[in-house]
Amino acid sequence: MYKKDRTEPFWWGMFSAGGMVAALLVPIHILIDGLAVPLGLVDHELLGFERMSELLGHPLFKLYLFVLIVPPLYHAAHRVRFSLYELGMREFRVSMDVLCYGGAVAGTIGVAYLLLEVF
Amino acid sequence: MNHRGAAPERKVYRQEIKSTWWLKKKSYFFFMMRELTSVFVAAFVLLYAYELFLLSKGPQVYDLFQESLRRPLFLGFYSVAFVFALFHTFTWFAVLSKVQVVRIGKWTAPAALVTGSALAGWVAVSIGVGWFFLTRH
Repeated sequence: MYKKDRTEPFWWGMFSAGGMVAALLVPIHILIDGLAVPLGLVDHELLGFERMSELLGHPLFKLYLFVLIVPPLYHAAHRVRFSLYELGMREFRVSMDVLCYGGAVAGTIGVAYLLLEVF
Repeated sequence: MNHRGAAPERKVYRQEIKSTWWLKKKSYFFFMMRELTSVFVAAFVLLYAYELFLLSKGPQVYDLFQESLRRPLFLGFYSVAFVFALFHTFTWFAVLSKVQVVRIGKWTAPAALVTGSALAGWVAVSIGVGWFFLTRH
């Protein structure tokens, strides 16, 4: 793969980091944000507007959110890219690669802007 | 030997592989499911980012979204996403033992130890995150 695409090791590195973050953090967050709070298993005020706004005042919390959201995007981008090859995609390889990683980059910029400028 | 005009044409045998090759065997299917986990992971973090964006729009907008999270469609999606996220975690730590070989001197860590330690770390992190978000302090 390296001969065909010399940037691949970099994207693989990002994939690896994102995969680690996703493996460690995503299940508990889906459990809390997607299931426990909406199902009423925990007090919804704990993730309510006031508390979240207060937490977002801390730069470290913003950093945590950045780490939670952004690396998994690169993980998915790399995996989707190669899954498309696995599923038989022969044409449009370069444009699909660009779409995958470009999407991750766009997400990075969007989230960085959200956390730095908006909050 | 074929000396007709230009260089002789060689026809390379390329086996036809259907796009549905992964449905043929159980192991192939679970491989594809493993790859699919990344889509659910990405979907979740993007939804989470969207949630934060709505937070920036004020309490009414944010609460409206929290309301919609209680609907069956979202609960169903998150339930499925949770299963896929767990599958990612388990398969990731299983692969870890192959990718990151731990050697101290002559001793090589057995795969089960690497995977087990990683899973233990995951449990600890999950408890930590859960404690941080779900308790008042």
